[in-house]
Amino acid sequence: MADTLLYAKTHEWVKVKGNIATIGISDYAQGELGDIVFVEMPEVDDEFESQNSLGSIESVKTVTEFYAPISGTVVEINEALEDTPENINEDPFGEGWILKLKISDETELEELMGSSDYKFYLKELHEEED
Amino acid sequence: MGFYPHSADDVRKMVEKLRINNVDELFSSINKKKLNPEINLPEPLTENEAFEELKKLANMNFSDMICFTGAGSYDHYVPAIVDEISGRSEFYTAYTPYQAEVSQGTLQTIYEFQSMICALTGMEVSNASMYDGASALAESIIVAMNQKKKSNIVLIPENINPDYVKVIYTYIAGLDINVVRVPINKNGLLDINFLKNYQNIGQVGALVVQNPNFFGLMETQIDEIIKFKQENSIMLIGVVNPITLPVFKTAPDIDYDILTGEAQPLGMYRSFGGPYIGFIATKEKYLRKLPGRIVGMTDDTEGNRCFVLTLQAREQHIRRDKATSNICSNQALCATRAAVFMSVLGKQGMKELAFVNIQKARELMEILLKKGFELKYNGTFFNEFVVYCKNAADIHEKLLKKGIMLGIKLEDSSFLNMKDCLLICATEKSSLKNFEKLEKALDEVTI
Amino acid sequence: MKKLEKLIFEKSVQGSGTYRVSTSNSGAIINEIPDNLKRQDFDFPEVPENEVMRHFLKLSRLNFCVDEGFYPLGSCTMKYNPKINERVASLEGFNELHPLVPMDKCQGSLRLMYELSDYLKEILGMDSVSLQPVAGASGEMTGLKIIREYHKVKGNLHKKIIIMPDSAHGTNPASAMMAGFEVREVKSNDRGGVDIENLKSVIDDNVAGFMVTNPNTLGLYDENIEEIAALFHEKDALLYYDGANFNAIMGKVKPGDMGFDIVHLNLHKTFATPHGGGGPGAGPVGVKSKLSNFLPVPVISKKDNKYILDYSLQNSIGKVHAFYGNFAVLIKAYTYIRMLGKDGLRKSSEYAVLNANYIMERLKDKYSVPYKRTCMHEFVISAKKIKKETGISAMDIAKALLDKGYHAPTMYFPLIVEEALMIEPTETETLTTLDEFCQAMIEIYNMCYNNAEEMHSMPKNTPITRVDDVKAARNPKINYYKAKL
Repeated sequence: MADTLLYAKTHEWVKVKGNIATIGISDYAQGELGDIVFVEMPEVDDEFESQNSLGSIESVKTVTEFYAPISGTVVEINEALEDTPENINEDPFGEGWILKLKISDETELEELMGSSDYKFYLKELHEEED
Repeated sequence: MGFYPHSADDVRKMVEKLRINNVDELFSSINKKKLNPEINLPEPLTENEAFEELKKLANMNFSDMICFTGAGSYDHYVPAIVDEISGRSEFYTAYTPYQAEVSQGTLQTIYEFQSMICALTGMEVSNASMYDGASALAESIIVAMNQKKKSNIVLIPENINPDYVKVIYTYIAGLDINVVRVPINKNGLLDINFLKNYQNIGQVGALVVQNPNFFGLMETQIDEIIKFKQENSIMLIGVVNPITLPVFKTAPDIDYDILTGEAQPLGMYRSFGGPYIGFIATKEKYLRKLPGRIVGMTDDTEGNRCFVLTLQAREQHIRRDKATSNICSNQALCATRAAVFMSVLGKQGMKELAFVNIQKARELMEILLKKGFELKYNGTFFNEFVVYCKNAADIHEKLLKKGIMLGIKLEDSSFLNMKDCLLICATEKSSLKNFEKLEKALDEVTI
Repeated sequence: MKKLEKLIFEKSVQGSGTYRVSTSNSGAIINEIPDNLKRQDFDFPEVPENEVMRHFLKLSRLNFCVDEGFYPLGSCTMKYNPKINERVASLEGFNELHPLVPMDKCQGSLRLMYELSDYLKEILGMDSVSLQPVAGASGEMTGLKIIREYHKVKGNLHKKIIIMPDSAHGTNPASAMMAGFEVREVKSNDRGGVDIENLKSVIDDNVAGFMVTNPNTLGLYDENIEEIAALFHEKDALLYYDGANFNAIMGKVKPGDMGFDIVHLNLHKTFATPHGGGGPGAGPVGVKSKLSNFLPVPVISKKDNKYILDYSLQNSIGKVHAFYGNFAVLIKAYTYIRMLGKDGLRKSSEYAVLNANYIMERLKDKYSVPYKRTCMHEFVISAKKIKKETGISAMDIAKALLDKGYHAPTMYFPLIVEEALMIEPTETETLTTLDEFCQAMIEIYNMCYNNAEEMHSMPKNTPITRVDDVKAARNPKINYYKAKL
């Protein structure tokens, strides 16, 4: 797990550089989905409020939406995912990044979890299941 | 008679195994007052008796009428091989091919159907079938409007099959889609000036063009329509009769975004309206927006080329209330019939079929013109055309008594202002003998 | 590599086609078509008729079908399809009839439809029936559009919610969406039925209707159905019965008596019309009298001793099919009902339920049954424990069944049971078949614990082995002509 990232309860990660947030889904999330076959992306310049659906990720047997961890405007999408969606499975925190948002409200970052909190959150999730 | 093989001894053994006294104990969750209700049904029949009953019903129909009628259901010859193959248990008693390992027959056949629909239409991708031409068009409109989320108007000309329009209205009820009807010009084609001057253009997401249209006419203003759709970034939905396509211009020469239609002419009997088979073909960029089943090519673990239902994450059983269509069962056996039909006719046969239909329709037209009918519209038609004469309704009625159905009266088919206009159809089955009978009957009824 | 069948396109040789539509020189007519309307290039296969026959015959042999063997695919009711049905549906009087012939020329077809509607009304406890919907999902959409129109006519535009159980079939929420509704789920209780307390907390005045199968997708009959119906009717919400599982209760209880207002049936399940590899089916919809005027048009009526196509319903939702539905499928269901009569239908359901309980009883020591009660026509087992202990999944078990000459059960549905396998034997199977199937299931169970390695590589005796569906979805190849480019 990448320690310097922030996480949402819906399993997206956020990496902040200046006023730009790079967003992807966590290793746990990609593992739950299985082999990813397609990512449906928003378009550049689309605006989102935090917790809005940004798009969807399909594996063979399931589909899940992914959400904006913070509010912002899309400035770049990872076009490579169009041909190689498996990058999300193979390198969720690197090549598997999904899109970049221009942050509109930095205070929202405070709502997100750090990596140790996220690890604890995952552990709790598992206990509930059993 | 029934189809449950249980002997009394079997039932006894099974009931014992379940430690119950009788089968009705298995239904103890049902309110006793409601259990085993009175049901008023006719007495059961043997197979032999059922056959006689059904034959009696079939014989009450006038299926041997000479029928110069199309209007969405066409009298084409069905090659014997089509019945032979679709009558094989392996095809007709299998379920949807969920288990690819034991369903390659259906899966490869559907893949071939999809590919031949693409070859015919000139589009890049096709699904595995829809219920019929009407629902295929309705679902095409929903696909197109979902692509243009900021728009809520679909333009539908007045020359589209009126039953399709009714189905469209039912499908879009409750959705944010509005239909605006485009008037037709004196040639029976859509009024291009209406499009050019349409005020609410910013709200328009899609335009539907039926080609040939309900009156049988080929659309000749395609260049202007393409310009209109491209300038305004509108989805163009074509509704076509597949048997015209070997001869008439299609995609990619015509910039259709979606091509849809009724494939009944490809090996389906008229069968009082169904089962028929709709198809939807589109550009590859809209592949994941297609409703319904799609078969794709892949490999098995040993590297054999094989086929599988794919892109299922679009569909209702995975996406549930986020799916864009609810379609589950489609018309797979009809797709099988269409695949066999297209395979056996092949390139040459498919062209001949189109040519003969064009030819026969012109022969029929000549006869009718000779007998005092006029063509309602001047233009290029395929195998249907509209004729007019001042007592056409009366003639139509009298011919029926002589066992000839000379098309349909358009007045009865939602075209209220088209009194004494008949929509006529000829196909490769329209024989010289039947043409002669028609001529003779016309002489008798018009005197 | 196994010897599979080439594609029809790979068998194509230019000029080898033998089938002729015309023996005269029909091509001359092309000169009458304006050049700007003509197509320039047309690439299409050319294969002689005998090779076309061999091609599709070989393909047919790669299919498993119910005429070959046991097909316990849950919720799909893969019963025997009587052959007489095929014969009568192909009578010329039926299949050579144009749908727009005047009504006095199609009295046989109209009478068949009228009588079939009557039979279905009797069987369902409904007052009116439309035969127009052509599949289960088509029936669902029809029913939901009726619900929408009913509330609209009453001015209750705020009724925008359809409630359904978390065990619902995927078409239910998708159909609700197509009718412009929002979906609200109600939880299942520990008996597999609707949790009444949870239901009370989700019902409010915005609810337009409730959509459910009974027995539900777990194969369990909800004994509280009448209480549930009353809760909805208090709010003027309508009850929709999804007839996918009707084979459990045919002749035993009428949905109308349970309190339902709208029902669809799958004639291709309960009434023995064949599935055709995924259709054509038929999904007639029955309604109570207060909704009769909302059905699609035309319905079949009788006037002056003649059968007519009746378009006079004042609140009709319109049309869901260009003509009158899948007529040839209706012929088959009609014939089936005529042959069985009321006792035959009732016995069919009794034996379907007996068969399902018998298999469940024989398998319950090996496979865990999540809801321990009498099932109806089908039941769900869970491979969760097996998976935990051996790594063998529901999918592996299904694939092993293929190797033993059976079709697989429905897998991973309903969603509320982990590693679910849903088994529906139908009434048309002999005790011998059931016993052999149970034996096969027990052998597979033993293999999970003794030879897990082998289980992962099943099936081996089928025309192909497991497929790479990830490859198929990542790089879709669905058109030969496109793949060729």
